[in-house]
Amino acid sequence: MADFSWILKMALRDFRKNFSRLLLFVSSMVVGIAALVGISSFGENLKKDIDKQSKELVGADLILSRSSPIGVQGLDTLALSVANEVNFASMVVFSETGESRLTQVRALEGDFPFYGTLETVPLEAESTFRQGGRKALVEKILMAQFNAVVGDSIKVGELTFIIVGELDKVPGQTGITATVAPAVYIPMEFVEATGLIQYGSRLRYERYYEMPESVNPDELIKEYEAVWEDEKISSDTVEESRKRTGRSFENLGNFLSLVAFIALLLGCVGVASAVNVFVKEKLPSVAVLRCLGVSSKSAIGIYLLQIIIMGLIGATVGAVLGSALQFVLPAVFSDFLPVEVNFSISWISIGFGIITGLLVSVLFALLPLLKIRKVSPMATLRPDEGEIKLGKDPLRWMVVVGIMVFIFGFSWLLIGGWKEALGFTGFVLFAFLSLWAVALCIMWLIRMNLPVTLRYTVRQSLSNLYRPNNQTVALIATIGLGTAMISTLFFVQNQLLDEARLADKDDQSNMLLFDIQTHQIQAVKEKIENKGLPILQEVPIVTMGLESINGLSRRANDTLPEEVRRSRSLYNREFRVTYRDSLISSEHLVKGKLRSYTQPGDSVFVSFDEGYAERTGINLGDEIIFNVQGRRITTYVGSFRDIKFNQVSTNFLVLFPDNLLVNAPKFHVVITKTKNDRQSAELQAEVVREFPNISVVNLGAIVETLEEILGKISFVIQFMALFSIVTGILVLISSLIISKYQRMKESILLRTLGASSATVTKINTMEYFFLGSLASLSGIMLSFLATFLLSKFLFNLPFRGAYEEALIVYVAITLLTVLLGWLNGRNIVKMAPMEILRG
Amino acid sequence: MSILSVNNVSKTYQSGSRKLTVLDHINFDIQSGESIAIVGPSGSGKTTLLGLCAGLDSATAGSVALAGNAFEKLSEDQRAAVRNQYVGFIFQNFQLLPTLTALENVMVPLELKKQKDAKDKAKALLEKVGLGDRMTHYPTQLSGGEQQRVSIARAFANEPKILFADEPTGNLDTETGEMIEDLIFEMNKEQGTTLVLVTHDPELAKRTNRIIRIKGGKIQEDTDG
Repeated sequence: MADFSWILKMALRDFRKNFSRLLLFVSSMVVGIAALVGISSFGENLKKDIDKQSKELVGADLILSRSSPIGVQGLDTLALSVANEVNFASMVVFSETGESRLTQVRALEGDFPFYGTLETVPLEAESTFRQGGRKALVEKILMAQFNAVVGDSIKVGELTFIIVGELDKVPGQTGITATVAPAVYIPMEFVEATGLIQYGSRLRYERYYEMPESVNPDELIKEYEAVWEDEKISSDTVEESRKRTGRSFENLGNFLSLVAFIALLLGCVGVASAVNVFVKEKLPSVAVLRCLGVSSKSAIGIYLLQIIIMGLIGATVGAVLGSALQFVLPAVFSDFLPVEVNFSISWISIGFGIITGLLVSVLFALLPLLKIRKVSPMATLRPDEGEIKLGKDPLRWMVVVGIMVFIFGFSWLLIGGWKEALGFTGFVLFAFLSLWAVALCIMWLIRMNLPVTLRYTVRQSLSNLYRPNNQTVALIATIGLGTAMISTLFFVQNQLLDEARLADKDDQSNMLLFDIQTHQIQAVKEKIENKGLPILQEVPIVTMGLESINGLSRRANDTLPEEVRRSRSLYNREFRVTYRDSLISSEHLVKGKLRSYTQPGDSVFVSFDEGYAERTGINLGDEIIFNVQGRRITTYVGSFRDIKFNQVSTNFLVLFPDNLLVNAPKFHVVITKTKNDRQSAELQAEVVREFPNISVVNLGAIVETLEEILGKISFVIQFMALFSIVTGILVLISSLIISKYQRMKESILLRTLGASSATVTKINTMEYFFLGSLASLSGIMLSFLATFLLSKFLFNLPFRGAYEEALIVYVAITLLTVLLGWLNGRNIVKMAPMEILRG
Repeated sequence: MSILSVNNVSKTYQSGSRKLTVLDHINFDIQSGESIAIVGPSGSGKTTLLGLCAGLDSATAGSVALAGNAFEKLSEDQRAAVRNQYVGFIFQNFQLLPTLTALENVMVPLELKKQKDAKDKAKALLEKVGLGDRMTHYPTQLSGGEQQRVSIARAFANEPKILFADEPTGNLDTETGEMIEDLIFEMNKEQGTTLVLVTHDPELAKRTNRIIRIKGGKIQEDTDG
């Protein structure tokens, strides 16, 4: 074997002439690396900023939380400052317009937040609010929705408050939480007077502590934990919150890295395809080198070194671009971030990106490069000896296994679970194999069935799809996979929105009124019926706690070893149950049967949601004792129900039989169906005006919120998908440019034989039309399959083929392929044949 | 002294269920310094024979030994080393490396032999073949005759014991072809190299001192030129 310096010298000599060609292969992976480095750097910076701003994230050193008043605590006296809050969902009416919306009311007392501020417009609004009086701070999203301005008033329950400022940012809150549950701050002193603190109200009491520097809250809470456990008080410290937030963003970061990894994998197909063509062109030179006495290892070395150099350049460019992405990413993710993320270069991420880029370029290039080993020097005398098949080459299979191991290992690193990583690898393999199979099948079908009666240009362009040096497999795999990814995102998003809109059918409810007290129920029903609207459901709700399961109390459960212990949340949970002897449309029985309770002394059989029972380990026949306002009720699990939670309906984890709870303290939910948005608005306004404690949700508002949330999520998803789209386009461009060299000779020959430029253009354009069509259709089929699986198993929705959207994707991808193909080939037809023949 | 010894060599190809015999029990020896032409009609097996003699391919049966190295006992990489040490090639279609300049093309065999003065020697060879002013040109920037001259310079660069030429003038016009023939024979004489050439051209064959005629994979005639 020749020495390394000679191999390097030869590689650099060869490189001079190949630089622009190799640049194409590198371009395919630049975007993928940029995305990986970008997300990884962003994750690093976010982690740093979460650590740095962890106190501002919580706003206090310690938070206690409970569903009833917290009462005096031992550590109250240790704190420098204490603040209290009670929050609950309630309707808020904007007095100027009379419009209302369900919001999160937060009644505050004290100087919370102790760290960070309530960012308001105007700036002084926070201090104005704290000066006392019936003043409110309202989330800016609400202000915008109702065109409210500072100085307007809102009605919360029975009381009216003046809006003194709009809330821009609250510690720990993200744009998404503000969208889901926009907050309204009012002073605690008025909360009782609103009339909203009553039975059935879902109240959350919070106590915020500011501790002296000398006190470590994480140590401090240990001595109170047992007491708090009994009192059902939960605690949260800065450290716990920092860890939790860090973990959840780490998960998000890993998921996004996985999306970036897909873009990189797409680029890798481009790498393999570009190197394949590169190697094909190099085989005669390799044969000459072998003739002159160069060993096969040295010959591989010459080309591998070039790949390594270009891989390094591509990975470095990608890493630099990825770092530059830090200027953009905070804006993209702004709605999901609880802290402000600052720009800084993450050398770890850059190193990670460069090593990954180098590794993938070598791994994916090796597959075609291995052919060089098999080049016979005899090919110098007989060029047909250059046809090399690697089907049975064990080294080739080792590289294939290496690629799979790399994908598995990398996804394991990102996802954290080997099963999920295996699933991801399996999906990638399945997607590539199916697209590859589709491409081969298409080529075979065309080859076998190409009608000779077709016009010459059509026949020629179709036969280009299977002739030597075709790009069919590479393009169908890359464009197909890119299309599949993008369309799946697109289809799933549309399906979710459509499902929500479709819920507004004639026979389905679209308005839900809850928190109705027993003494109000009759009046509310009359109001609805007077408007000519139906009472579709009237549901009584009783709240209760769980005391024991099969005789096992919470305390006894706590003493059990962890592997057999039930979740504490099961015992701490406040169950909201209803009672009836029949099922409603959103549920069906999957095990056991519903049993009535007819007279005192009968056993009480309850029905559980199957999923919840599975998660908590509850079985049919289990004895469960519930505590209803101090009264113990012994029940038995009699059945399981499968509940469809995507309807405007009341669904319950636990269903009691009729008759038993009739006299228990309860509140009510009423469900109706309005005919149009105006009627909904009118009914909502009237109910809220007359019964301020009653909350109203209508389907229109749900769809609106859903659209807003999905809009925000889809913006991020589309941004991430952009990497795949750009990679797909780059792979497409590089494949087209590479195939230009392949097609050049044919085009010249055709022109030499008298074909006009128009004919040659037509042949090329049609070839790209067929390629684009086949690739996008394959991708769309794959995305239909993915959407079907996601709909069925993840969202539990019936699959609806998004044919119109699919048509748009098909037309867009095909046109793009044709356009790029045309741009790529237009110079060939302009050149004189002699110019090209001379090289 | 024999530089090349071909003993009972056969070459067959399997084409589907059919067995195609291209060379059938070929025997001859070539002495050092001899010049030999292998002639015969198209498809007679002469290029296959050249490939086997140069160690570019393996015989199905029989033995080929070049400078005492029996090819059938060597791996492909070992054969490559033998080629680098003893063999020079001139091809009909020149077979220059397109990404290397004329000078670099000539330097390759010298560098492979780790010769320190590779550049100077390559320059001298290019001067000798009349391309002193075209050293930095790439093959595509040279005419066919010029490319073949670079190829001749490359073939003689590592002072081969034996030179194999496959239709060296086949792609050139008569005038250039004659010039190339003169150059090959002149340099061959100068370096005392053994020359084995495959040709259709009877005039070129006549310039060698031995002609082997081959037809249907068998030697028909082995005469002095």
